[in-house]
Amino acid sequence: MSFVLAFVFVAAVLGGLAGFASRRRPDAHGEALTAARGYLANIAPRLPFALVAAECLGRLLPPEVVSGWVGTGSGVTGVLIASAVGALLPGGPMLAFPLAIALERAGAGPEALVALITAWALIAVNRTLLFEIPLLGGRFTAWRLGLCVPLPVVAGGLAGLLVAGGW
Amino acid sequence: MARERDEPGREGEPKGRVTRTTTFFVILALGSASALAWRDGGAELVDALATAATLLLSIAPVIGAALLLGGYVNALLPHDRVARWLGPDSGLRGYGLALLGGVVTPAGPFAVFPILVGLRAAGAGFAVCVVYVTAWATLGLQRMIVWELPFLGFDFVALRIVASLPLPIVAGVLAAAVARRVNR
Repeated sequence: MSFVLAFVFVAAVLGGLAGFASRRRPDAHGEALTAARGYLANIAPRLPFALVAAECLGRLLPPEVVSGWVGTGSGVTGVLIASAVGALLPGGPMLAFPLAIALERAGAGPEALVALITAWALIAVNRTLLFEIPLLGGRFTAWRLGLCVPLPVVAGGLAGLLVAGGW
Repeated sequence: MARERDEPGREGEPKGRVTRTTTFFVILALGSASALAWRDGGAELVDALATAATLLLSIAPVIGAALLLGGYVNALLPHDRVARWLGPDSGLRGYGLALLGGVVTPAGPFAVFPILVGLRAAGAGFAVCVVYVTAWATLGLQRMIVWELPFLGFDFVALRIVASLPLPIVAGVLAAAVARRVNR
């Protein structure tokens, strides 16, 4: 159901942008297609393997370990563990999100999942190595990553409070 | 700085890296699939593969549309004007724009890092850059709609948004405190 909703939303925005391009900058159609083909060439070969890996890894994790360490009510410890796991998680969203649902099925609590996704989104090891350090330099990257350390814990803690408050 | 790097997303990743990342996923998939089959048997593996295939079929149209959307944003975005809006004289309004800009910048590193390079070149401070990249990472709209909503559902997305709202501000305040040491 959410897949349909997501598609409708993306398609609507896409339609709006394409309409804007038709009226203002018709040459943008070609540029957009070329860029999209480039993205597709990057993602298409990886996506099936990433989904299989995430699904199998999720099933390999013993549910009692998942729910014990990062289950609902695991509190600050669960948030800290999830933050560390998220920070070290390699790969893009095609691994992180399928893994997150696998963890959810295995009993991970929402506050731990918030911490995990926040840490992964901010730090994303291979994105940092491939793009940020080469483009922005080691000094910028090191300071930014240093500042990010408390953020997953803040988000996970807030989510925990919201859930405890009956969200 | 290499010239092609200034063309955000046109070329995507360099070829060698594409192959390496894909190889990583292939090895990870083969390894975890073998481990699952060895521990839980072939039937469990078939079930896992069927679930993965269903996910792939459900998400493929969303990703296809989103890639094209990313292409349009990239083609239509006035990169030079963005750099001016967030430059050194933009003040508090600059922070607000950085936050909004991060939210609407397409997912994937192809757009955001070349934009950051442009911002730095245009004289944007460390704190503005940190607010921008933090908003992109934690509140980015496209990743939320394309990946998070289909996989984790609306309730979870809403919870994570609310819990993440303070993050760009916290990061910006921390960054402003150390900015002088980063900018030198």
